[in-house]
Amino acid sequence: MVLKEVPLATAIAYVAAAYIGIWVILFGYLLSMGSKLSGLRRQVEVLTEAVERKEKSVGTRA
Amino acid sequence: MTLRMRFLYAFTGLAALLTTAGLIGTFYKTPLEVKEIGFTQKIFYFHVPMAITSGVAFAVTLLASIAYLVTKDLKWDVWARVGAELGLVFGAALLTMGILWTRSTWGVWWTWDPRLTSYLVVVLLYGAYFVLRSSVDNAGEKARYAASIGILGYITVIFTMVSTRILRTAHPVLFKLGKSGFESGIEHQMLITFLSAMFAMFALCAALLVAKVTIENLSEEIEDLKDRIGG
Repeated sequence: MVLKEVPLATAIAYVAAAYIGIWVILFGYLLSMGSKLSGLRRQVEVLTEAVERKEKSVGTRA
Repeated sequence: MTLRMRFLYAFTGLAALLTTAGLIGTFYKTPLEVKEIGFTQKIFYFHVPMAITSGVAFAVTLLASIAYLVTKDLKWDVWARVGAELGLVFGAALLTMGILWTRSTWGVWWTWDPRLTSYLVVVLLYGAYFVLRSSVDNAGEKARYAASIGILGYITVIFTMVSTRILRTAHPVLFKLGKSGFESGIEHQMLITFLSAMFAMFALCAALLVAKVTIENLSEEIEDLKDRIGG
């Protein structure tokens, strides 16, 4: 495979595209993890309260 | 705040710091152009760390798969699945950078070079790992089959690592064992930048690993809580 000399402007465009590409992939994934995590934590809090309310009401009836 | 969340924030902070250091090093501290490769060598500083991190993530799958087969504890299956997913995420970023580097230095988008081809096989194989998982319903069976691929699949990762040394390839070899020990042949400042980027990717991978395992555990907890409300 022969190394190809590219003009600096073209090389800069390739390097910029490479770095933008990886940060879109990695930060996109990181942000989706973050939002999923906070959503699930809220859901756990709501459900835990619901379970506690249910167990209290069962206890009061008993 | 739980210990796991502290680890998550610590790894994320460390990743952000080291990534900043790596980017500053890449664009301001290292030579603008390197002989023969030119300006596109700037891709190297994050491209190689991503390859190593992807290999580390697949190693998590390997170890967790072995742990699952030994203990039959489904928690290891979760770690194995998360490792494979992260390996593919870093693999996607690696291929994106690699394809652009290939285009700029060799003038083609893709070439069937042993290193590139073997890494493509790695990505396809770990992709198949998820296809297999989604096609089996029983949790135990799913974990057992997936563990087999998780262990055998690592052979392709090892082959990719050694392919530039045992086969004729155009892919450069930058790090090798010489008479005076580990030799890189790159300047001091380039090595510092490379190491910053590498530890940044390790920290990011660790943060994502903790986040993803926490998500899996919270999902299980939610199912359990729903059962308690329903029952």
